[in-house]
Amino acid sequence: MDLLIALIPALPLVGFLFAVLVGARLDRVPLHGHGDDHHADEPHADADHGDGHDAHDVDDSAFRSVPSEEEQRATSPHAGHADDLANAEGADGVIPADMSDGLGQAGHVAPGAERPRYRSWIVPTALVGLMWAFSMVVFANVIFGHNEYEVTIYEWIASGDFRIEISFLVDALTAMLLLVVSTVGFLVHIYSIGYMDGDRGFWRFFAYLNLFMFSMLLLILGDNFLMLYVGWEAVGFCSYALIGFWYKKPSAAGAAKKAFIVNRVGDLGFGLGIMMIWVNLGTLQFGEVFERIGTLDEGTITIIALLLFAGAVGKSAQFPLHVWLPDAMEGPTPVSALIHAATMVNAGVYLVARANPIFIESPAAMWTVAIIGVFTAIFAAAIALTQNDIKKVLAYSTVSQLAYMFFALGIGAWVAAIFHLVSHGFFKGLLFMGSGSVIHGAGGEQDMRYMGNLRAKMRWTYVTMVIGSLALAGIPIFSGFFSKDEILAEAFNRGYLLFYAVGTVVAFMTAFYTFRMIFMTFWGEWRGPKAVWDHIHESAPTMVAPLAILAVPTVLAGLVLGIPPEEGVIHTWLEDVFHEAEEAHAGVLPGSYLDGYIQKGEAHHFEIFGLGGLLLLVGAAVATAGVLLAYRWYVQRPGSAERFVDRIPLGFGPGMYEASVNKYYVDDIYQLVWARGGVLLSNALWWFDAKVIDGTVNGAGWLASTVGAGLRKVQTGRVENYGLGIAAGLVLVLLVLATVVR
Amino acid sequence: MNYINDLVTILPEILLAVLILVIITVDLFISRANKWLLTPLTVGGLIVVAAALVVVWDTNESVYAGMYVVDDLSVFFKAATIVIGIISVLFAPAYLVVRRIPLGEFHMILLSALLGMFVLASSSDLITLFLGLELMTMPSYLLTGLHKTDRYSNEGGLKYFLLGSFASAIVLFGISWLYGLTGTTNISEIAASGLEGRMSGALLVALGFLIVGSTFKIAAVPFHYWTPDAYQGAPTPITGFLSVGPKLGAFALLVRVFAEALAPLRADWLGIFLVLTVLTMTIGNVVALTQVNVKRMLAYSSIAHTGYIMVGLAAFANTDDQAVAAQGIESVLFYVLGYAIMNIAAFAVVGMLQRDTRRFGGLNSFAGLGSRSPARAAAMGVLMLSLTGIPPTVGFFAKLYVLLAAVDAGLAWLAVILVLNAAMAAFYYLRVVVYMYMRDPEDEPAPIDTSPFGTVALALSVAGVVILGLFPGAVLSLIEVSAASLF
Repeated sequence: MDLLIALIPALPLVGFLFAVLVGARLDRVPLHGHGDDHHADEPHADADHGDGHDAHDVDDSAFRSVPSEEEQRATSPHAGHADDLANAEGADGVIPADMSDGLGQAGHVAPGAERPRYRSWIVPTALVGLMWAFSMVVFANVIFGHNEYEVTIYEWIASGDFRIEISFLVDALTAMLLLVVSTVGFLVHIYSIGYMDGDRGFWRFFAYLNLFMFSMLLLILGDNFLMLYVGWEAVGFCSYALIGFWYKKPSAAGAAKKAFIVNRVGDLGFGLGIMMIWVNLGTLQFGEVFERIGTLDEGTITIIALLLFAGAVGKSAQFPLHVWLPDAMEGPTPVSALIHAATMVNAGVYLVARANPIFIESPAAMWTVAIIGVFTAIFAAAIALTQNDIKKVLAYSTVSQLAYMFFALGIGAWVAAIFHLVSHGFFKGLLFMGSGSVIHGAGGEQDMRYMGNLRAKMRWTYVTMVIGSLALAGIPIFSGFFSKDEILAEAFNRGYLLFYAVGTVVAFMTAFYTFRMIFMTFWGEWRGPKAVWDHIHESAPTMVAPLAILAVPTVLAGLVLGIPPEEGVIHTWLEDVFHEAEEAHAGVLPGSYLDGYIQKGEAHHFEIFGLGGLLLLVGAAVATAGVLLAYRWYVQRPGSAERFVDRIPLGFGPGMYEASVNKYYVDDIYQLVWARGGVLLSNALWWFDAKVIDGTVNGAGWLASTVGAGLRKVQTGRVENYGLGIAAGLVLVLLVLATVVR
Repeated sequence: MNYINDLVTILPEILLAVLILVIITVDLFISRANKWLLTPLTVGGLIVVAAALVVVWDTNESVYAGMYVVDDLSVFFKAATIVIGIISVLFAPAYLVVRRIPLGEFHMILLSALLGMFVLASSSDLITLFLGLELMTMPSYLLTGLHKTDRYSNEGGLKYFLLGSFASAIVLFGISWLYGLTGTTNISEIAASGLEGRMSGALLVALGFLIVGSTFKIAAVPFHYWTPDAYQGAPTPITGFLSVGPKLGAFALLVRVFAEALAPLRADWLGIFLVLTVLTMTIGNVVALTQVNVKRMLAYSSIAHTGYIMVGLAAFANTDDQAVAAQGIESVLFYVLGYAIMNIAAFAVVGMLQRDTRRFGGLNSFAGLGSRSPARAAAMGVLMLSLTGIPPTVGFFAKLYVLLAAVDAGLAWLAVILVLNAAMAAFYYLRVVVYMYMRDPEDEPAPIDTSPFGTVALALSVAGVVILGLFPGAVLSLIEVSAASLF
């Protein structure tokens, strides 16, 4: 078993090394395979996608009328698919011209040229598949065998008191994450084979994916804060590299930088938090830290907890550091599904859950977590209501759902948070991959206003996405219903009525925007260009199969894990992990009206014909209402949304709508304060350097040459200045010493 | 009897000196076509010296009337010197041959510099110390100007020589004042002479001159002026050596003078030292940010690394707790070793892309290296990650260890500045990676040098960088023993 656990992160690492060293040689992608390199000649090929819609129809004819399209289609069985991909990502400027050479080149290969070949996926994907199998064995052993594994590989750092072991801890919490990470990870690998086909960076993509898997596994398996941090930073780097995968596209490169920098803000806090743990406790090993944390005073614990939480806020994209996640959608869609929905963004939730013994010692920190969670949930949902980009809707929904988890963590509903994490990992991975399939099918279109009626042509994608949406919306029997309602019920039972109310409103909004997306995409009339409509077809089997597979846990996870509600089997599984946290405080924080009244054991039990059943009913009703409203506004009477906005009293409607579309201006404020401010600051520093420092050096040189002009026999050029600089420095050092030292 | 014992104790030095003579002699008698033999010969000789180092490990003896000490600290410095020597010797020939730079002289001069570093590391007397310093730096000047037909090499060599001599004079002046104050040049006697609490104008002068002279040698801001010119001018693999070899020696000097002789006065020199540390880190990084030439970028970044290492010394000085002080010295030792390996190798990769003698190591040379030479690009990628300080490389651990020392010593603010600087450095290091993997090759890509020696050295260095990052334990325990000889 120990070997098996050690192999789990090792396999993707091997895959990464393989892809880096050998991958490039396995793929054969002609650099300039086709003579009619029409992308490169088109000035508008790089036009920004977002605001190019006015000229949409005009653009279309330009890039979609590849001269000998029919002929090429005939020459290659692969051509139709590849050509669509060219539309999907290459032709309309999603990928900049000179990177898309490989795209769709199956249809563009010059006669006699070698056919492209992609083999670099085989080994990485196979290794990840093996990793998945091992993970499942470990998962079964931990969950059903009630085992807990601690595997020490070796002592990584051993100097003085600072001893860090490379060791893995697999308890029920890790096992739950392992389930999500390895399953979604493996499926995304398969999905990517189809999705990335035709991309010149094919091997690079698989190299990054494997590196990401390795880092993510390190993050969840690590047995101490340092390993967690190492994995944390490494997934951050992979996220950066994958968001900017199409690095020649300015918006992608910008989004990658934004993600990296925003995350750094949080990571700085996380790093400082780890340092504080080390300084105060002298260990970073989870067990020891949690054992000794009680010896510190509450103020210190609060600072540590808040610093750790700062890292979580960055990584899990919570307000005010949520701005990077929607932009991260610039990356390829498999990346969005894997990193920005199902795995990496959960790291923050995992961190707080893992560090639960620290957080429960500090009510202030718990309150912060809960409040940030509740606020972000409604804030992000309010933005998602008005987004038109299909991936942006999902991105804000991810932010909002993660916020639910933090909200649950903050009120001490640990298991509910992890439950939602698992079910969200599956259904959001499904939704993102489905959206990739839609984008792929709709000729690269991401704007839902130019979609419609896709269910006629993409049955599998439609059905699976509806299943995912039902889960996200919280419709009964689907996984999201159980996990979300458990969070709300816990909030209610613990007496956070305001939180419960906000959470319920968010649930309504969620159901609305989810089905707004479904109806705009799959129902109604096709609103895009006619030429595109004719090309729409179901995606390749490698892309559809993962959707179908993910639909299974999306339907079943809730039924299996969540019944009976609030006491489902997942509670038994995770009991050991959160046992003490729930014991110690019975999940009740100061501020709850139940504070002091409720004791562990007296806690309320679920009754279907009681309060619990009522809460479930409310949840189901709210979700259904959201779906029905979306149906009425976007299917029955299109245009109702606009009328509704206009009807809001006092003329606030349009303003509120604008604010939501513009993400409540948070990005603009950051741009103004941080980015512009930074530029100003660096300009000022540059000025200082150019004028004052250089001026001083030059002035000193001028002084030297002027004073020394008569004496100098040999022209030594700048060396003299340097010498003078050293002498001046010497004088300065002496002066400082003379004044400072006494 | 004593005499023979002394000779055995300095066996590594003797062997190294013999090796120099052997190289000179052999060079005379072999034909031009066979000059390449000098490289394996030198490496073999250095391995023998390394074996001798193993013999004298744990000797901890003072020889030659207290002028010279073979303690574990010195043995560690010497071992690091050997590592630097072997890597440098393997990397350089291919570059030198293309430019018709004589190999015999190169090997001999490089070995002389190594001998200087040996002496420097082992001095227990300021006179020996100065001797070692000169023996190390004189060959460095020569190495910089070794490419005689190249204007920049000449210019760099001359500047380095002029300014270096200036700094040596400053060091010597400081030493003489110290002698005047204490009546001795012996390091441990100075430490025991009760200087603390007797601050005077004279001591101030001694301290000031020593600080300026020695920080010049490690190229700390604002005494770094010579570095970019010298590094840019020198043949690239030699730049790699210059950026770590003399620096290692200079840190040995700093440790001997400030952490040993002037340790009682550390409260007095700490303040100015902190200022220099912050300046060095920050200015080195800021200027490196703007460089588009990788060679020059690495030159400036080596200044920044100097700053990081100085943090370790600052940690030593800022604490009264002996364990924490030892941690500071240990972090210096580990950083110097790790930095040496990764920096030489990084310069060497730049050199490998300068097979075409008109190339100056611009960023463009690296464009598309990922597809042109995956193994070399991967190696350079690892080196850049390590220089940035990303796990699991030695660079990460070196920084972490310095940080820990700083935090433990109560210099958390300095640790924060270091972290911010490291973040800044990520930008220019990772830019190289971006060029390698995300840019198409130039129309006429730079030819790549694929000589076996260089390839072996690169593989060794990268392996060293990764292995030291994954398993630093063994080396750290050696370092612990080494640092203990100071206390």
